[in-house]
Order: sequence, then structure tokens, then C-alpha cells
Amino acid sequence: MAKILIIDDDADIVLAVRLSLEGVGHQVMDAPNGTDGLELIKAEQPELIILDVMMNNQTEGFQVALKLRNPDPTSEYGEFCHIPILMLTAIHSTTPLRFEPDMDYLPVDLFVDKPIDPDDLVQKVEWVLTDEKRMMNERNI
Amino acid sequence: MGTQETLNLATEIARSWGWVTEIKRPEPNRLDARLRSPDDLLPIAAALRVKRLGYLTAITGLDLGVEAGELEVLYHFCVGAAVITLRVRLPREKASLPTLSEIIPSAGPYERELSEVYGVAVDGEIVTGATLPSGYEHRGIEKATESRNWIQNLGLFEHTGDACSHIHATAYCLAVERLAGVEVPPRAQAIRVLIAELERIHNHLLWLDVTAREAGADMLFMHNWHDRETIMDLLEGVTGNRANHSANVLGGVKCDVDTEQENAVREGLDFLEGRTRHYLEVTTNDAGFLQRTRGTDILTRAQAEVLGAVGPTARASGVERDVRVEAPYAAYSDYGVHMALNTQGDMEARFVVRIQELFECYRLVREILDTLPPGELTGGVPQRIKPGESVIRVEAPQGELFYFVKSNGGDTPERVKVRTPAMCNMTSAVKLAAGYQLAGVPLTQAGIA
Repeated sequence: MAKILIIDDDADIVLAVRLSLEGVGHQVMDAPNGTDGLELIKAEQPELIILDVMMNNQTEGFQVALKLRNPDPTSEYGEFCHIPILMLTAIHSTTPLRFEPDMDYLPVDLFVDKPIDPDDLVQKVEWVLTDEKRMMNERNI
Repeated sequence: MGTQETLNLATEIARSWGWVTEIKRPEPNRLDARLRSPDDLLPIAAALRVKRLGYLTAITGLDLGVEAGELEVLYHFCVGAAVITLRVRLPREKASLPTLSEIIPSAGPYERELSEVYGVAVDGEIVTGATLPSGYEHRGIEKATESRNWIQNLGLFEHTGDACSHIHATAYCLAVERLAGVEVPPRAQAIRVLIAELERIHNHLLWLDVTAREAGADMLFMHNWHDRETIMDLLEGVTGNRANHSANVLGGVKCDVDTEQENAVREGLDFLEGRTRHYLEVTTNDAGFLQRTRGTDILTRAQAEVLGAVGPTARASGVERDVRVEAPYAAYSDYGVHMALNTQGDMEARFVVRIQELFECYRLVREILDTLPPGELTGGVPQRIKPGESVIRVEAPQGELFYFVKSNGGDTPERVKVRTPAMCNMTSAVKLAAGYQLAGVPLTQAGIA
């Protein structure tokens, strides 16, 4: 079972995700914003990150993803660039703009709109975790 | 994506979360959006980036004038022919912006330019840490001594520092003379000290030049640079050389001071003393200069002691460290040295201490000239030096200089270790750099090391 980090400022969402994932045996930790989340990534090295977008500002989750996947080899977070990211967000309910994973520009592995059915989330988490190896190959890591 | 399509997408992004208060199309291919607040810069830049509009081409700073009390900063993003300008206003006082470099790594140099030209503090320009790569002395000069004889090495050590060649040669001579058990004649010892103090004047003036320049005081730098010629002329008059004075020989000195040279030195010092009073006036009263020096790069007494600061840097933090006073060498025991101290520990204190030391140098040189003992200039030193080790500490212009010399009885040293004062003070400079603006590092480095 995997060590999973949820970065989300909504305590209800964190609780719901935690219950769903712990229910199937995952170890779950959480952070309420990007800054704390990045610290926790350094300290705990999770195997999957479930990342909200709109936290302290409207695109904080994007910023976290961009920092983690910064292609600069000297980047502070270089060693964590392989950790898969599942972006779980309600951003599409606030803007007509559409966002989706983009290898270079929005470097996340899966983009999921809130709300999400718990079983569906568990399934998507499993998919990202089992598919991690393939995606790592795609990213040439 | 066509230009208009790109601009429409950018408009949509800008409007999405109320980040902008005004959107214009000043040119057919350009969108100009005024941000509501500097806080919106990072989120909108991230949104542009994830929508493939994040190629930052340039950052322009505009000073809207003292009356307006504001600066304006323009971030230009380009995609194909489309230009997206994000405009953000800042107060002139304490202008600061978040860095974009974590999500747009190429932003770094543009932000640095903004910081230099307009004084806008960009958060990402804070130095988080610094390191000191070292070891060149051993691989270079120290190792080279082992294949040169005792006399050849004297010439080598003249080249260890540019404006402190004499003190390096003096330290080496003192170490070798101690090993050889040679007594150096009093006149030679006094001339060594005389040249060392003239060199200290040169070095302190050079430090004032460089550090004033790093503090942005170019006029002070230029005047000082001109005045420095006087002391270089005096050194050339006494030793025959402007930079590598080559006054020492093992066992003494090779140059004497006659009446003509003595008069030239006194005349030169009178001129420099007047100029030094002017420097003290400028460095302690000029408001613009003090903005860069007063209260900056503070090294407390405790920090200076723990970090091993030496010389004027230590004394500017109130640490009583001066080898001339603590462990007098050559002729210093005959000429008491008054230690200049300051407890402020900031960059201003480092200027003040050095300037006070200049006055002390003028006094010391005059006293030496007044009381120069008669006699020989050298005592003989054998070609082979008795086996043993000797440790010599002298007060170079920048602080304590350490020489360890080991002889195995041959005509070359077995080992010479040189520890320069800059090496000690770099620890303080490295520690102090962290937490400050990158643009301030040259002043920190020049001022402390």
C-alpha cells in the first residue's frame, strides 16, 4: 500500500479522501497549502500527491506542480520530480478556461474534477500508482 | 494558435479570477493588463504558464516619479507574434515583488536587473546560502615552495597578495630567521615596519576604493583611486617598486631610507592625512552612502569572535585583535600601536575603523622616521636552514596573517603553510550573505573579506 499526501485547504475534502484511501489500506498525510505540502514532500517522500489547485491563491496547485516538475537539474525539488501527481480540483466550476495534464506546461498525471465519488477516487489512485512506472518511462526518468 | 486567439485566451485568463483591473489593446498584437495587486502576479503567471503562454521575454521598470510615489513594473510574455503585458504598481519606498523564477526559471536575470536599476526587492533574490571553495594556496604557492630554495621562495611569497606583498615576505623572513637563529639589525626591523605601515596605508586606501564602489559611491572611488597614487609613489621611492616591493631579504632589508626619501614620505603623508579627513567626513555624513553602510551587514562582537574574524573587520565589531599589539614582532615593540575599535559592527564601522587606522599609520610612520635607529641593514642567513618548525603571526592590512614554516635542514623548505586574513573573514562574509539580497553580496564580500 502507498504513502499518499493530500494537499488541500478544504478540511472536509481532506477527511473524505483520507477515509476513502485509508479504508483500502493506504497511509495518508495532509497539508493545508502548497508551502507546507512541499515541506512534507521533502520530509516524507510520498508515493503519490493528491493536489488541489485553488488554495491561498487561485493557482497555488499549479505552482506546486511546476516547482516539483521544474526541468532545471539544480532545482530544489529535482529529486521529487518522479512522484505522480493527481490534481483534484473544483477549478472548472469557477472559470470557463479548461485545464488538463500537459507534459511540459501542466505537468500532472491525472486531472480530476471535484466532487468525486469515493470509489472512483480509489480507482483513479490505483490507476496512477500502477501506471507510475509507465509514466516514468515516458518522462525518461 | 493565431495571434488574436492567443490574446483572447490571455484576456480570458486575466479576467478569470479578477486579477486585473483594466485591459487594453495598445497595439494590434499586444494585450496590456493592469494587475489589481502585486499579490496577483504569481497566480496569473502560473495560469499563463500552464496554458502555454508563459514565455517571459522581458521585465520593464518604470519610475513614475517622486510625486507619484510609485514604480510600475511591466512583465512581457510573448507567444508567436502576440505580446501580453502585465502591469503592476508598487510604492517607491520598500518596493518588493514575489519572484517568478520558481515557476519560470528564466525570470531570474530579469528580476536581478529590476532589483539593480530600480531597487525593487524581488523575493527570489534573497541569498539562501553561500559556500567557500578553497585550497588553491596549497596546490599553488605552498606546493611550489618545496621545489625552490629559501631565497627563491622569498620572491614567490611577494606574489601571494597584490597590495600586501611586503607583509607576506616579512612573515616568511621572520619565520626563516627564527629557524636559522639569526638576529636582524634594529634598523632593518624598523624599515620593515615602516614599509609595512606604508603598505597598510596603500591597502586601506585600496579597500576604501573598492568597497566604496561596491556601495555605489563612484565619486569617492575615483578620488580615492587618485590619492592612492601618492602612497604608491612613496612606496616606489623607498623600495624601488610600486606593487611587489621586494624590500626584504632573509636577515633584513635591502633598501635604506635617506633624507630625501624621508622628506618625500613626510610630505606625502601630510597630503594624505588631509584627504583622509575628507573620507571620514564623507563616509560618516553622506546620507546616500550611509543608506548602504549604516546598519548593514552587522557582525556582532560575539559573531565576529565565533566566526574567527580578524583585522579591521574584527575591530569594527569590537573584537580586540591586532597582532601588532597582542604579540609585537619586528620593531613594533619599540613603537606602540593604538588599536582602533568600534562596536557598531556594521559596514559603516568597517570604513571608520580603517580610516582611523590610516591616521594611526601616519602617526606611526612619522615616529619611525623620527627615531630610525642607525646600523646595518642585514644579518647573514645560511643557505641551509636548521631543522625545525616555526609559526609566525603578523598583522597584515586585512588582519592576522599566519605562516608555518618547516625545515628538514636542507636548502628548500619541507612545508610552508600560509593562512591569509581573507580566509578567516570569508567565513563571516559567507554567513552574512545568507538572508540578504543577492545584489548586496559584492559589498558584503568586499567589505568583510
